[in-house]
Amino acid sequence: MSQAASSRFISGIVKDKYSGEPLIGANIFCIENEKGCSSDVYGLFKLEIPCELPVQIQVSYVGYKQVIMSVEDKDEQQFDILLESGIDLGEINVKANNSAQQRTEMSALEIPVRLIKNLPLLGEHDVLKAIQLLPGIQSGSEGRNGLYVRGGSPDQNLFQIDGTPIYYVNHLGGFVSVFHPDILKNAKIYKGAFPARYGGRLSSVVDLRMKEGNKKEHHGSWGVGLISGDVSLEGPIMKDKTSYIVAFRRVWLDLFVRPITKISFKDYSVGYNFYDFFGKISHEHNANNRFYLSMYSGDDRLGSDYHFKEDKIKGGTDYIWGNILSTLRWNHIFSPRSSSDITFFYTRYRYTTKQFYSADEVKGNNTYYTGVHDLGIKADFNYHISSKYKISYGGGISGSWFKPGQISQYYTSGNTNRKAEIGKQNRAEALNMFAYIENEWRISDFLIINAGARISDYNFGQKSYIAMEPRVLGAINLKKLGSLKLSYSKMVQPVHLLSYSGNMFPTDIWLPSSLSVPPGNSAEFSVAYEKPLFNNKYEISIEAYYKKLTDLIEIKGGVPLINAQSWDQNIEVGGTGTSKGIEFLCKKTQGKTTGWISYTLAKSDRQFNNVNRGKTYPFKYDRRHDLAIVVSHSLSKRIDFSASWTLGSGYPITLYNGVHRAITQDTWKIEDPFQDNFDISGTTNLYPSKNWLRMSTYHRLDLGINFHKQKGSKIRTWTIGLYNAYNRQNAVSYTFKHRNGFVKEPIVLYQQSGFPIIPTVKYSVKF
Amino acid sequence: MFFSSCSKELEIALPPIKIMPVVNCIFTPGKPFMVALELPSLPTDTTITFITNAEVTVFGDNGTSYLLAHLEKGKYSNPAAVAEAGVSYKLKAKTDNYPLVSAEDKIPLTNTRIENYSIKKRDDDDPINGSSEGKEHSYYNIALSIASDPSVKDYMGVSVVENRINARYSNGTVSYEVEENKYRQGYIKSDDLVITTEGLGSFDDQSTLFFRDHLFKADKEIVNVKVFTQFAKKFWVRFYTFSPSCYQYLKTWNIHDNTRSFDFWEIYEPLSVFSNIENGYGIFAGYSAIDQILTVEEQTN
Repeated sequence: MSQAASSRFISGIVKDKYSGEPLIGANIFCIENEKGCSSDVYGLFKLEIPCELPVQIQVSYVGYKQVIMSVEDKDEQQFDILLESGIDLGEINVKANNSAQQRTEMSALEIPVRLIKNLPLLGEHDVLKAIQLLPGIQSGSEGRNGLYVRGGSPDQNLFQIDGTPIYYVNHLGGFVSVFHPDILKNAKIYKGAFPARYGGRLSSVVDLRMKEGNKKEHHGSWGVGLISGDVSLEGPIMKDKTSYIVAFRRVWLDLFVRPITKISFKDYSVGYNFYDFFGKISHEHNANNRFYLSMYSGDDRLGSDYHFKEDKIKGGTDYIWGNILSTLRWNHIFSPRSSSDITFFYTRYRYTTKQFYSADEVKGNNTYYTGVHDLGIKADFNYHISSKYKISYGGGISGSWFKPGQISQYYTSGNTNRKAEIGKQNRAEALNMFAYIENEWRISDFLIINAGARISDYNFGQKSYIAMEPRVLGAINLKKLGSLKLSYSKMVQPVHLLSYSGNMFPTDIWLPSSLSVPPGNSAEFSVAYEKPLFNNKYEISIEAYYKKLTDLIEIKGGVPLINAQSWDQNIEVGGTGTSKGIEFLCKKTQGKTTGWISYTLAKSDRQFNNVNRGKTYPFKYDRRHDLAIVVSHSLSKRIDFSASWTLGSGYPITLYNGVHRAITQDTWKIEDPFQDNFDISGTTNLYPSKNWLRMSTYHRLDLGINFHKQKGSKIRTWTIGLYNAYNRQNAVSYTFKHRNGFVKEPIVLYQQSGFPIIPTVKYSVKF
Repeated sequence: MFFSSCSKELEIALPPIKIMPVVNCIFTPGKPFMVALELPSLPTDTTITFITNAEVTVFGDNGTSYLLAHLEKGKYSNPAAVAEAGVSYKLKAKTDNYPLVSAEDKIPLTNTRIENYSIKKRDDDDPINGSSEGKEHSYYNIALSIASDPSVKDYMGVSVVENRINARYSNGTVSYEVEENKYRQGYIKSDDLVITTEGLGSFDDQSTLFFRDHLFKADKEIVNVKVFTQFAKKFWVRFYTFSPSCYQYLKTWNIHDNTRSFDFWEIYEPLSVFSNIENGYGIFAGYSAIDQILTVEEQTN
């Protein structure tokens, strides 16, 4: 009671002084009572200060000048804090919300977008590629889609843009993700210790926030690279009230590849492209109400065509896949102590294959379609009861509509027209409801507890799966010795992805749990030690985890996915998995030279009763050792340089090491259909076990250099990169075949390698 | 796609395979056992090492036992060792350098039968893979009404030989001529749930489809099979009843054979072939089959 009488709360928004863009994760600290907090995803903060005025508030944010402001008016409860960028510009930082001791999070890493634009990457700067350089996170082998977090598979990652889930996040081959860095403000990944507000996936949460757009002036940028181009614009619609931001990117590989293949093969041509469009409107209705409308649309398109002019035959195949999502959010501040977010969202993923042909009067087409739509609403509330106790709670409801696979056929010849639909009835619906509560309790300067739970109900008509997911985190402040944190998280995943592991094409079929396929579960324990060094210039962290996965599914060996009408009969169920590891991260966050070293020692395996004779086998992307060294150096204001080197154990594969002849059914004897038809006419490959062989060690060096030149208000940048600088041939697969493809030559083992050395160049202008 | 040209020959030391004899024997009523013995080889080795000096014996639980003599190229048989349905047989093969190889199986008693059938021709409305050759992909749908004893688990298969009729066809660009009275292996597919759940519904060039009665909803079940041909006069349908081991072996071998060559794109996960051989590889299993002629002209029996 005495505390309540002697203190009160103030709230406000931390913004960039010149653009009005709210800043996520700024540190706000009251000097008098030594209480602190950090700004949320809207830049909003709530800080407890003494009633006795004046008080000094210190506000800091990486890359911005620190501000100390005075609160002198007791009626002043709400105000904006404007920060000026300029200090430590070009700084590279993997940071969390606050100093290590004060953070009530663990297993969470935040990547400033500025860092993403500094890293040397293949052609396009990309947030997921940057995330893959962090400990405990892997990319899979080259040319493959996916993000593998602590031994989890790609479908176990929840990706959210402005709070809306997105199903498919990679463009072809994992070349680049759908997340355009020009539109992003913040990216944060949770590998464990999941806050109760997140759910629905087993292994990670990637929370991405879009910029709101400049509320004061119109600005933009454009860039041209070897294979892609992009443009973005932002500015005020109503100065200081309403802003917009749009960004568009397109890869134009098809513009080169199609003519080349046409010339080379005469009757055939192949092309590939993708595009991403992001848009957002932010409106600050008044100090207490803000509205946001954001959307994304993106598609990949891979097409091949043939045209035999002499025979008047033509046709082709188009593969199209991508997402659409839209979000409407209302952020409301009730008081300096409490606020809410209401979010309406829609998201859709679909994959189609269209085949078409014509010859004289014969025409036809086949279309395969699979996809999922989600429509829902959720609400989040925050209430600061005191500076020592904060409560967050909320809930939501959403519907999901799945189409596991539908084939439409159309054929016409002369007067004959035929249509056929296969799998039209093949659809599933589900209703998902959840509620959660988080309690952050600062018991003392020594101990902080964040305990919460999430309850979810997944109903698909025939059955309702209700799950309770406890989440607990304890942080012990060891003062100068650093901090020690422990956590336990349970997660439930009610949707399943059928996707061939390693397949480059997005044959992703999302399906709900069913009577025979319950939701997947994970339980993760983790412990972490964190300590800042040398006046916060460096920070080290060591984290160990143990994760148990249950009710996993896997596609039965050899079962094709297309038209998966009886999908739950075509999978192995009841699988388990364990994943354990130790992650080390040392980062340098200040000075001209910045960067980090990360190392992970990990082991991940799977077990299914009907796979590998029931024995446990290594997870397909089990990587025992994983090392990344990332360095960025600012030579001058005009030139900065960066390099990253990665080293990892080879991934396990299932290769055969023996062969023998096999008895099988020969074709029936033409003149005697009743004759016995079993004969030794085949061969069988012998696999010692599943994923028994490790491919060769993976390592790669990427280099990048940026040349900046400012002329007036324009900044022109040349970005030159070198992917796989020493042209390491990293293995993607092994296969036996005759040497040089000649049957008379002996059979030898070949390694298929990933991307060779690739130089990249991009010119961009910011205005 | 971007990097498929990047390949190099590797010289890595693969761990040696466990060398154990390979047994190949699938037996059926009324025919003598024919057991083939050999050794597995490395993937890079194309030579076959036959086992020619083994002592191969087959014991039946009806008190019979037969010593099989080596014929040629690792094949062992005995004209008197004729398999019977319902008898459990044990194979023992003694060799000089390897532990005793053994296996046990029997030919199941037939609990299932085709009670009825209907045949319908489907013309042109299944243009496969964007092909303009719609006629080439015409098919006959054979609906087999199968009676099954619900108290017994049955493992079944069906394959088809067609007897073609003479016909000519032209779509203006391509012409076909089919000779009369020629037999051809019918390449078959099925969308039927009892077959697709076994993972075998969609491979090209399948000669046999496999299914169990665990998904049968009643004592009788209609199983639909598509035979891809245009001008058929008759079909010889061979209806199999397999032992569980025989079924597992044939099913997994078919999947294995259809999926193992997709190494780079990894469209399928590799699948090991089932084996019931102790101290060895391969299969020793039994089956029985009933053949039936289905006439197209009658359309419905």
